[in-house]
Amino acid sequence: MHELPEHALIQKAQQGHSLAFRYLVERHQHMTYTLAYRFLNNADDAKDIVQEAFIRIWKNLDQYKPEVKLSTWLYKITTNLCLDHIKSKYNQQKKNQVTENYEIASSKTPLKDMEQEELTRFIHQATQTLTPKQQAVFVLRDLQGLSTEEIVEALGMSKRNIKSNLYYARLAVQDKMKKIFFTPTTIINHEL
Amino acid sequence: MNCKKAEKRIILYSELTREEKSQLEVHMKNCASCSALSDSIQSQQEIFLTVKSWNPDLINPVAFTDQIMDALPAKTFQSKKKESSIRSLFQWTPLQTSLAACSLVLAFTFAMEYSRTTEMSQDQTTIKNGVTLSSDHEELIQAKRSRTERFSLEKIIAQNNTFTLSTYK
Repeated sequence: MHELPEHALIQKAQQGHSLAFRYLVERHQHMTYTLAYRFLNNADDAKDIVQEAFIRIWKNLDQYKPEVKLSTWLYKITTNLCLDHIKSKYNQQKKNQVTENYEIASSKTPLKDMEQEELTRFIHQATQTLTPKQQAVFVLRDLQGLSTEEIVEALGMSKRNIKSNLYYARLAVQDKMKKIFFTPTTIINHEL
Repeated sequence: MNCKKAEKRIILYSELTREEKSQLEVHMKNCASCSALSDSIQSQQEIFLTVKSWNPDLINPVAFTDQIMDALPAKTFQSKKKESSIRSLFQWTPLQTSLAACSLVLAFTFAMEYSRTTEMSQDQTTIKNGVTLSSDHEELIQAKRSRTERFSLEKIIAQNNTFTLSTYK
């Protein structure tokens, strides 16, 4: 059954075959985890989101539309769950008036030597002041590499709206990066 | 193209059409500040590419799959489908509900009208025959017979009277 194409696995899962659903989970869990991690930058939170996303898929499999790819559906659910998570965090930050949650301090790591993981962490920190919508568009387009059409499908936003949010997101991230990366004496300490 | 428009296009470079890109190239050839901004954005995009190519490690993926599968609700889809089809029988749309209500009202009105008409025709029959429908059929027949006999008697008397008159004359 493992070799079956995705639509056949979905059909079997719709009939209640949990093994078919397990194969679908195995195929998509890492991609879903990566997306959630890029949003949240926290392994435990990302795992919780992934689990919840698959539970929602399982519960609503009978509403699955074959013309939509399962990955797109997963992007949609995962993004919405992450946005809810971010929104509550964003509101909390606003309450506490925290606008800068990264610090320029003691670690002498030049940009070119930064590890990918470290860079990811930094970019995540740089996106923290974005609105949830800007953050969603930025993560999906620039970090996850989705096409504009896929983002339209996943977020239910117009192309124009996506462009506008992407513009402000890139502008804000660029501003943060300028402050930290492109100053010769800048040193970074990532706060987790 | 002015610098403000060019700056916006530089930031959204990946989203531009071929024509928009070539218009921007023309502007940047003659504008040092926009060209510098473009270089800066390109460096930023390279960082994004580095981040994009990195995937966080999912420690012990098999255990994670088990965890997800264990968390799934036990309900099967077949029973869910049956449930929803039964529920759909009782879940009418507003149009269906109003049609059903109209049919009920019509049926009730028709029944009322029918019973009223039947009562009226019963009354008419009673008046016409001088007897109620509930009375015995023989009464009806007798009444008819006595009326016929009375009519024949009157006829005979009339004939006799005519005969007597003509004889007398």
